Amino acid sequence: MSSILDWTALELSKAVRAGDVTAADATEAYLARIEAVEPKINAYLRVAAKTARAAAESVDKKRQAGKPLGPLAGVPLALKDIFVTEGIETTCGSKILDGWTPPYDGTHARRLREADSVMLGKVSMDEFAMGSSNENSPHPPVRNPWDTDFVPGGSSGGSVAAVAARTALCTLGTDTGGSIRQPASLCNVVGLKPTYGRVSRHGMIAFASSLDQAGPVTRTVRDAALVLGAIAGRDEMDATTLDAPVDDYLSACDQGVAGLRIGVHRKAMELEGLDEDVRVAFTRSLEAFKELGATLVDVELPHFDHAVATYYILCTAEASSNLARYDGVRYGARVEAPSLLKMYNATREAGFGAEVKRRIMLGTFVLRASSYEEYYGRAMKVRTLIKRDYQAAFGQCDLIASPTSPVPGFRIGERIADPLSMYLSDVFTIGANLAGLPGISIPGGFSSAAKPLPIGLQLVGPTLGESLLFSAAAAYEANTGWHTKVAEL
Amino acid sequence: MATVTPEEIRELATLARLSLDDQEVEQFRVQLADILGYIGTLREVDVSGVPEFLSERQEESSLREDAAGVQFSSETALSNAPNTRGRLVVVPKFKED
Repeated sequence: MSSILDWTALELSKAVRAGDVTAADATEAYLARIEAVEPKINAYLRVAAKTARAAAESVDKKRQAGKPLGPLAGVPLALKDIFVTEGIETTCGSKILDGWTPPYDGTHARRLREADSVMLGKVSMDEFAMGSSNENSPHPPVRNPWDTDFVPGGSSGGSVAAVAARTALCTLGTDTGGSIRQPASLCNVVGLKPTYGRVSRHGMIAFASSLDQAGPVTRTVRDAALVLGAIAGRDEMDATTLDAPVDDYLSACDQGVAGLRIGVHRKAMELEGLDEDVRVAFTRSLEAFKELGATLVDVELPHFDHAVATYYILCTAEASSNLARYDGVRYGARVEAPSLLKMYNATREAGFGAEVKRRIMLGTFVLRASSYEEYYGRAMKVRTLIKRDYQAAFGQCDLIASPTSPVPGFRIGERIADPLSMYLSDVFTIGANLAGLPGISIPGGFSSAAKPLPIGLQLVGPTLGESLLFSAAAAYEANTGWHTKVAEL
Repeated sequence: MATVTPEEIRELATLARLSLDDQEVEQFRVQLADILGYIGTLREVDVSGVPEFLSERQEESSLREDAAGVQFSSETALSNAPNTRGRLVVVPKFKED
């Protein structure tokens, strides 16, 4: 018999509902796995074993009482530390929130609990979700389970490393410029950024509110569909959530990709710094789609080259405003000082790491009256042009395929001193955030290195096109089987 | 390449409520110049007549019932404050010496 750890969330939840296995058994298996491999990976900031055991017990009692169980019955999962959890310290990977114990659950924690999942703990991240390597953190760096000298990607590095290391069956991450998809690519897991407004932002600590979106990180496309179904939908607590009905995403996974038109932006493949292994893997992925009955269509995204600059103006502007609330007054850490102003400055100086300060500074610069029009105002207009580019492209195709990350990965420490090179890690993912579109990264091959690193494939869909993404991604996954390869630890 | 002076960095730090040391000022001066040089490439884009971005949700307007929701007790709301006295948050004096 295979180990519980080998089961997908879909298989495990079915088994728990059927009474073939208990939520307690599944939880113990994952807690033991965490104990065994976590020291090599550093994915977790906090393991909440006691609350996890209590949650598992309540799921098992519910079943014994003959009550119906939810779609994630007994599924052990973990949340990026950006998600607010009642009674469990939530720090967003920052010293400035040290010791903050939220008095409420955000929508994500609540909906996942109502779906009868078991929350194992909180996973690591770049501070305030700012980074592409998980190195912007006061905690030890999360390591890539495929090669522990390499970064897991970021900012949801803990979320992907935990799934790849099998210390959680699935996790939630957040994606502002690629922070779910890029690390998913680096760790051979599935990562979905939904349409802006598909999932609530209530109880998700704000970085750049017009771009932030929560989504699942899983081993398979079907598991991502399962988790999205549990968290998606209108939320009274977030006015930006969409009213649109939540599709049956699992059924979408059975629809196949035959007849779909896959758009390819050929010019992006001329990008300087695009790794040869990534190019080869992507070309093979396009062949796989053709074999599955899809057609390939060339599309143009004329403002592709300007997306990263647009993003770093808008996200830093929003961050400088959102992070103004951390002042040592109402919650989190405080550095005592003789006056209020000195207390603010000392608290923020000690509480924020270098990348967060850099982005607050840049955001303050672009919002200054003297530079507003030249930077922020202009970037908001270019954002409109980028959105129009995608609208025009989706007139010709159903989905757009690209690599997720220009490189298979990079070593811990390799890029930390050069913020601009780190920002360029997001070149393929940022467009979907700026245009508010859904995007998924799925396992798409491996590098030719002696110790091969995973390479992700990204699909971007039109507004609320999650079902289309699932159809194409599930067909590709079944055809290629890259997701079945597991990191050895 | 954009140029940024140490004085500009210190002014931004004041606006952003950060007290940077000299080493940070120099580091941010170099890095911000690098990043501003890069984001300055947006000047190449013709944006004449283009409106600023609005999400689909912002293009409509939505109102909800003005109904009372769940409230925290003041004790709960203050449970994470670093320094409290009764129902008040304690902060240092406002006026500089």
